[in-house]
Amino acid sequence: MKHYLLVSMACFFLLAASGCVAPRYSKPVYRSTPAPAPVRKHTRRQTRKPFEQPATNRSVPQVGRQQLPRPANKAVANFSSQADRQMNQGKLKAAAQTLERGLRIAPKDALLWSKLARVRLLQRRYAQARSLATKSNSLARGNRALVRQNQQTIEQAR
Amino acid sequence: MKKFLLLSVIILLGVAGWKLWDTTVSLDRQITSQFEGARWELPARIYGRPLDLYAGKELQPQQLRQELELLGYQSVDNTALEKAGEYQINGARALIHCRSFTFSDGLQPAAVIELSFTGNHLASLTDRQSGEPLPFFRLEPLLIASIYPGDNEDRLLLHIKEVPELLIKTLLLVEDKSFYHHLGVRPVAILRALFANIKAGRTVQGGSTLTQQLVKNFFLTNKRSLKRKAKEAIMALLLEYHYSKDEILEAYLNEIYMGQDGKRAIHGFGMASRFYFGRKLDELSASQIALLVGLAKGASHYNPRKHPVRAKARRDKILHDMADEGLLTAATAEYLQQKPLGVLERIPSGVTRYPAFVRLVREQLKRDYKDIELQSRGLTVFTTFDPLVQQAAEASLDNVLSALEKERKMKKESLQGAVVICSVDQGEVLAVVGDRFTSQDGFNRALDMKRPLGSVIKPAIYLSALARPDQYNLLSLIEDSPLAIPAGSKSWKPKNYDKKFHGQVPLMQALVHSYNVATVRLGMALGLETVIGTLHNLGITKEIPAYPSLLLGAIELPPIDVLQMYQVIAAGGYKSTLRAILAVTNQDNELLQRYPLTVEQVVPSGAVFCLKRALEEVTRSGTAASLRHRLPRDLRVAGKTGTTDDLRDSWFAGFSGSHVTVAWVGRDDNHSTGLTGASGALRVWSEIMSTITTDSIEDDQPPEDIDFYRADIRSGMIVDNSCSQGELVPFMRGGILPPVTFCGASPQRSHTRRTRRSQNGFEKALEQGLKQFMRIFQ
Repeated sequence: MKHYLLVSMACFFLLAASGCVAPRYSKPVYRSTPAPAPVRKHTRRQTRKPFEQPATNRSVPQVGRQQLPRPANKAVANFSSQADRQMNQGKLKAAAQTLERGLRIAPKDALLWSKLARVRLLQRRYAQARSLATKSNSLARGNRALVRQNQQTIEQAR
Repeated sequence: MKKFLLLSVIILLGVAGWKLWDTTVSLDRQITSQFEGARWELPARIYGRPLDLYAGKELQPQQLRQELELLGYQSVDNTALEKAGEYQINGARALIHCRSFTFSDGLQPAAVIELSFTGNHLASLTDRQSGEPLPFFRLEPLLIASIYPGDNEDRLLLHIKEVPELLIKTLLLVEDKSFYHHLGVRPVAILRALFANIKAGRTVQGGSTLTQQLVKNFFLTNKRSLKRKAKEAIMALLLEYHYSKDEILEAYLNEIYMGQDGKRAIHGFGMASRFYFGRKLDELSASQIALLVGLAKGASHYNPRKHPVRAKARRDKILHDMADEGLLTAATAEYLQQKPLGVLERIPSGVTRYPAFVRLVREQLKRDYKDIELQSRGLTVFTTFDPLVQQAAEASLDNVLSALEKERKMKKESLQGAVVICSVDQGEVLAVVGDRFTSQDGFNRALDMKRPLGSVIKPAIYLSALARPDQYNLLSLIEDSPLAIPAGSKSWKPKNYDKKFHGQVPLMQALVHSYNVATVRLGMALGLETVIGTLHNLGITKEIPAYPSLLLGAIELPPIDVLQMYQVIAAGGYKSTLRAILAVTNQDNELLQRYPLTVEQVVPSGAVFCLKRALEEVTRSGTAASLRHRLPRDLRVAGKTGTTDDLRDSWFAGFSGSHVTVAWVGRDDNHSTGLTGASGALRVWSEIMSTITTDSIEDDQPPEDIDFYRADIRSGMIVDNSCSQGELVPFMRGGILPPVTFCGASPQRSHTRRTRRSQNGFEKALEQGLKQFMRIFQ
């Protein structure tokens, strides 16, 4: 009986929550242009600790690199591929230096941050690897592949 | 008797022979020990950042010219650009013959590059020789300082292969024709000189070989005596015995005394070339080579700056001899003899022009290197210094302070100031101005001065609040009403700058208008320890006493510490410890140490995101609203003003998308300046930010836990979706939210408050009920 009462109370609350409270707030109004449009209607309740930056997984048009004037991409891409080569050859210090040079040109380039995180992981500098991957996520603007890559780095660096 | 005499002679000869042998052995030891390994104490060289060139870079031809002039490049009329160090800028096109330079990651050879500009951007970058487009090119970095050895000898070490052939041929022609044939001394020449000197009654001729000259300079004192002369001859022979001709010549080229600049002694041809012509040795013309070779005979006597006539006569004679020897055609020699000496009027100073930045570098170097290592090992230190940003900061500070003194009829030169600038995402320090009179290497206000922060501290308090989304958001109403905090027998009653109270104000508005009382109330509600914790997270390492006055910035810190605080905020909560050094290499260009980029998330990104929104509002409608007409229209920035009691300190700390800049204005005697943060430091700040190439604050990607609502930021209410008014304001998901106002309804504070309370109460009840509900099923 007691249980029944509680259940009906809870149902009442639920009804109240959906019927009265929700409509009071209009749905979040997001910025439309130029960048972030985090459209995600159903959100899990946050369970992460506030100091952890959760990996994003949004269906947002990717910006960032496209925002640079086109030719600047070339210089950045050049560093990016040079760093790849150096990583493949095991020249981790050199790769890090190359990526830092790239970041000086494009400090908001999530891919460069992600690669730097990767280098730190290979150098066994785990705390830095996690931080850099998190930083990359914060700039990833919905690039899912990149976010997955960063998530992997974070997990491997634990 | 006869036998006895013979015996004595033999013994005497034996003793003399043994003595000579003994001397020779000890001299030999001296030669080999001193000549092997590190022959000279070499100063450490500190370099700034290289200017990166790539298509798409924001760069104006004028800025390129400024950089090239700093680097000592010569503007030329023809497009041949035969020598490295020459350039031509013609409208939107530029040609540069770049010098080679060894970076910490390797050598970049000399090259002629072609650049074209469109508007404010570098449009293309091509290698002239191959005609291929270059993805990227670095100009050599600017040498900003040298750390000299105790004897103050300054030299640029050369390898013999780096020395132009013409210079070597000319030197041998003038100083020692038979260098490659003799054994170190030329007895005939010595005798001939001796004879000529005796005949003239004074020294008119020297019979020294290059080897002897090297020995004299390298091992011996300048004293003239027969004994020294003998020693010199023995040592010259020994030197020739142990080392090759090329090794001896190389040592000579590096050792020879070539001039003086105050305490700094210029040694060797490498440094002499920089000192007199501002060029590298391989960039010199034949007449410049002739002048330098002439100096070897007596750098003071033929000093081209002090005795230009004498120096020219010497040079012209050498040019003539060069023609005789066939090193030049007679016509060329004659043509060159008509030319002026071409020596730089302004001595490229050995004393740094950027003492404030160099101080920061030396402080960071001190952690890893001893003084003696810096003074003697020939280390190269690569730093983050940006000369263009530094020059903008220096000029802006002086201009604005002079203008302020004039406008406000203050005594001339009574104001002082400091500026520090770093990059947002890497914390790389780009410029440090520690004194309005920048060349003064005295009190460094950017690093050493401790002054109360005033309201510049406030973002730390608001950040502490926003990090508690269950209690606060940007529109939470906070009380700006009379307040008394007990302090001993008295009580402390904070006041607002306008001497008014503003009642209930949204949190964001309290920061935007820098309301003191509301801030103190907020800080006290959060707890001083919370605020201190945030300050530590933002990079303040010193101990902070927990007094309520802390909340209004009664804590004394140097501008560089404020820079670190704002770097964390600008970078979205990611701290990069401020760095001035990137790498150190040794004399052989081998990497000794790298100082890598580090990041660490120290404050929740959602809270920082909200804070940045408020700090941007400061520059739109708050205490820094004057920036709207001081900065280019499309440049979005964020920041905070700071003013201390009696207007003693004027601060502005803020950032664009790429630069964090902190400016301070005040007086050394700590008297009132009559300036607020907005009327003093803000003007310095805005002038710098509108001069340098900087990015606008981008629309950062909001962290996952941020939702935007359209809201009326003055009343602190979310507006209904059907309204067209209001601005987008970020809120932490799952945190509390302000009430909603519907279009047409005028927002009323009392009504708002009631709604808020009842809603919050209702939400709490709901949550409790749900918890109960869940427990049943567990």
